Amino acid sequence: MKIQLVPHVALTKTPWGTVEKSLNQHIVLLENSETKKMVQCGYVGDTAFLPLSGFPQELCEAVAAECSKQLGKPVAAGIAPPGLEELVALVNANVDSEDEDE
Amino acid sequence: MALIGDTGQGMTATFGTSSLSLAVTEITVGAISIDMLDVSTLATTDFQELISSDLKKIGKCKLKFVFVASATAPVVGAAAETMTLTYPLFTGNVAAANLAGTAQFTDFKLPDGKLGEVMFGECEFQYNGDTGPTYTKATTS
Repeated sequence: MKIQLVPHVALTKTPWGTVEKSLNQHIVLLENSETKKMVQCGYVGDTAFLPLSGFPQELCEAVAAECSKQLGKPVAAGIAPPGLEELVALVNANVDSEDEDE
Repeated sequence: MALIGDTGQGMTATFGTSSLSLAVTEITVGAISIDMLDVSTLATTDFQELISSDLKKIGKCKLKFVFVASATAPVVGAAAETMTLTYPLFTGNVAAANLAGTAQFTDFKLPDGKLGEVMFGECEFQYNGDTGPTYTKATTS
């Protein structure tokens, strides 16, 4: 697994020019296994990898481990926000449980 | 000409330290604005003459999410942290467009209960201007 960490900064205009202010996290780029192109998969914050919506939960542990290696500090695998399929399943689960309640 | 435009599918809200993972269904982004100051004089005709004020402001951002009872909830009044709204990745993007800065939760609404309707929670956060907020366009390969 090939990843690349890019500092996530906020560009701030000042009278002395544009200054990069750190947001205390990195943008995580992951190599697409088919196209071999680097594509963002999330952010790594103070303690955890924060995946983008729809990023497979199965890959989070490996990405977090690689982030940890590159940053030299522990990085937890964050929980991937649900993609569309998971979201539909969640909604259906809620509807089902409400049906059961009735 | 190739068609352009995309939907919000894949848009993400991430929180630097609170490590929340919400099943978000809708993100409302606060508008960035600046007040305009009237500098019209007695010689002005037709329209007011306006100059921009010094500081911009941004409205609150709102998240609507499917309520999951076992999920960690946003904490109103907790310490500010980096909050990032990341737009969906378009084909050819390396890093997605995002709006990021230090922010904190200001509102959290637990869902109401009603038969036959999915329960949704809502929360709002406000960028505090300490760092950012900054909009960064997507980078392409």
